[in-house]
Amino acid sequence: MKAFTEDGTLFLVPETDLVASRVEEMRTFFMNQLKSFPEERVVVLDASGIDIVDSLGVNLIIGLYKHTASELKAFRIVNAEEKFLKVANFFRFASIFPVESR
Amino acid sequence: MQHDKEELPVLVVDDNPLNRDVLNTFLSSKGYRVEEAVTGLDALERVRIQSYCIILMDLLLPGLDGFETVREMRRMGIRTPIIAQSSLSFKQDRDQSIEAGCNDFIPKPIELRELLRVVKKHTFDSGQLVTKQPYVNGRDLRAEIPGQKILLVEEDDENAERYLQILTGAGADVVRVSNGGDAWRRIEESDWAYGIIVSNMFTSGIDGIGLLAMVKRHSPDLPVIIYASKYEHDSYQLAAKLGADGILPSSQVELSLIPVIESTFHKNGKTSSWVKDAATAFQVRQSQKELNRLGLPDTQCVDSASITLHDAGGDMAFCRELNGAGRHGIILIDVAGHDVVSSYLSAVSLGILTSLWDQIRDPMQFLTAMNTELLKLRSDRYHICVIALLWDQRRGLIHMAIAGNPGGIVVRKAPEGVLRMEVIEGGGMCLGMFPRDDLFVRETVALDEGDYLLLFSDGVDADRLCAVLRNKPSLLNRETVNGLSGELLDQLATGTRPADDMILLSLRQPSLLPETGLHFELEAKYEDVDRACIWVAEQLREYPAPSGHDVDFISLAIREALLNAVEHGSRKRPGARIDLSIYSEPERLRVDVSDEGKGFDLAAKLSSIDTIDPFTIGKRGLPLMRAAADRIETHGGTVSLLFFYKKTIREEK
Repeated sequence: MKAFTEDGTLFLVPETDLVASRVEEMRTFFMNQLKSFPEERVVVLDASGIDIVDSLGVNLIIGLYKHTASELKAFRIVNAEEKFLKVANFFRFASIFPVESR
Repeated sequence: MQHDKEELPVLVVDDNPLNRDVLNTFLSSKGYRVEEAVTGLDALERVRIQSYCIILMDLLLPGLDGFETVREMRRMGIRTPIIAQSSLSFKQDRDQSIEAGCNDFIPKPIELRELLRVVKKHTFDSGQLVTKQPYVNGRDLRAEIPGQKILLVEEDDENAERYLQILTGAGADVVRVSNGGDAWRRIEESDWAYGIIVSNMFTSGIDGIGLLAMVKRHSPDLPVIIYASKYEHDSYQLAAKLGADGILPSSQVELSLIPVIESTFHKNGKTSSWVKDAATAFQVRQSQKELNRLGLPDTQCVDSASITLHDAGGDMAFCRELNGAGRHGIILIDVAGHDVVSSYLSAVSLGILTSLWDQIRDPMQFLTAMNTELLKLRSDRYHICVIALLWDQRRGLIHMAIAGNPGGIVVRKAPEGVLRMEVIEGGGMCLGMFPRDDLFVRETVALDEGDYLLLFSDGVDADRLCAVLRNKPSLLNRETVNGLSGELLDQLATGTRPADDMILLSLRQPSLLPETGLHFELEAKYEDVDRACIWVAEQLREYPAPSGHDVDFISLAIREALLNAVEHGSRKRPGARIDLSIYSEPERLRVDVSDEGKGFDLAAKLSSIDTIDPFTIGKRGLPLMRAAADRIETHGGTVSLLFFYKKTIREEK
């Protein structure tokens, strides 16, 4: 997983599945990034490489969204692949924040 | 004061005058005063107006029979030891009489030497009466506290008031002082008139420990009970070394102070005890029977039975179904000795093992942990033998750890119908003796369908059991194992009097892993869920996706079921196992996930999900499971996801 900033946007890149075995580590890493870059007004979750999202992964995404919303920042998901989109559609992510496919 | 034997009245209940004569003559010659009753009603009338040290009860009485008479006596609160005597068939007679409330059993024709032994056993302790008031029939077991002069040492007025109420409520004559110094002055001024001292461990001036030391130096027999609001290991140890007769936390004073005082009286031989001993032993034995029954799950594969010859003992079997996929944890305990302490150790062992099964899945580690706990009791006079085993029924594998001498036999049917028997010798050091775990024995047994594993306490002779099976192999021609243990013990007890309590546990291997299914075993951790899901993906490639289903959602639903098992069923316990099975059935694909939990009310959970809302999604992932599967069923710790091939069925959902 990695994170970087570009033009006032913080990119969070898991690079792997959002599943229970990895969620806690990712949550810690991403929350630290959010704290480290308080000035970035947009947060983007780059879904490249995410194949599977389980219920704990969904919780992570919703947690990131809530955190950014509480700081009045924009949140969106980009580069979503087919399997990711199935889950995103099932939970109607698009009605909460933008989800862009690859 | 001690009673002479001549003062000990015995009631003989028998309708046969010859039998009454024989017993009367014999017991009178041994110094007992014998009274006779001809019928059950006659006996009931006598115990209403007269107390006896022991009752000899014929079971086959005209009218109200011996069983009913004993039951009625127990209902009346009579706790006098009752010895059943009968010529009925041995085991049935004994068990029914014990269940009715008898303390012991003597078969007819009566061997007089055996009769005297049993009578002495229930009336004497090492040839001496252990009671000063033996004929209370157990009606008022608190008779010893009323009138006792008790000195209460408590500084806090509120606590003192509460404890005073407890003690005076029990009829004691209580004087309260604030600290050890005041207590000592009171004791000396009264010329040591107090019957018992109850003191807070921590008081100003001379504290409870100081008072204890002073009292015990001057009068070691004067009971001192210490309580403390907080546990301090060193202080507790010091109090024990100084000879405190009871140490308890303040939180337990209200519940336990009176029983502790009674126990202290018992220990010091101050008041009636033998009646209480018999009653306690009887109750413990009854509780063990209940526990043995309740511990066994409703299964066709496990069965147990016991024959008890003594009022008390430590034989115990316990079985726990660990998950819905046929994993069982089973324990057989045999505590040496036949007194209340052995029963107590057995009960403590049961308590330890029920809690340990939740944490430990390796039988050897299990024994090690149990040993550690039992060593704390410092009960090295009482050997505790244990077999602990994990039975993976689906695979026919049994992993055992053995401490001490309980034995076992594996019984297999050879093709020609002959029984092949392999004796498991047991061995290893008993529990509770040494803080070492390299002294236990490990065994692994593989069973085929229809094979039996018989486990038993050392009261069962392995060679005799083998002989019984060889002589009567038809005992094993059965659909289920239910009743086998009792039949085998009956055979062992026929024609001979068992030398010891016997407990026998029978396991029958059901059909092994069904070939129709695909099975995967994992540990209750997230990393193993990932591993299992890779396996699922590989297996699902072999099956056509049921109509209307997305294979990705099937996979996700299975993943959620596994997460549910890890988090809620097995609670991420190290070593806890989860079984995953996929069955391709004619009309559906079925996926079973079995964990070690008790299951949950799925219907209620599902009905609480009205809409798919990511903000309120629980960790169970039930929305995903429900959306993907046509039906979800639960049975204990097993969740089944059903995916139907026929679309019409899905549409009916």
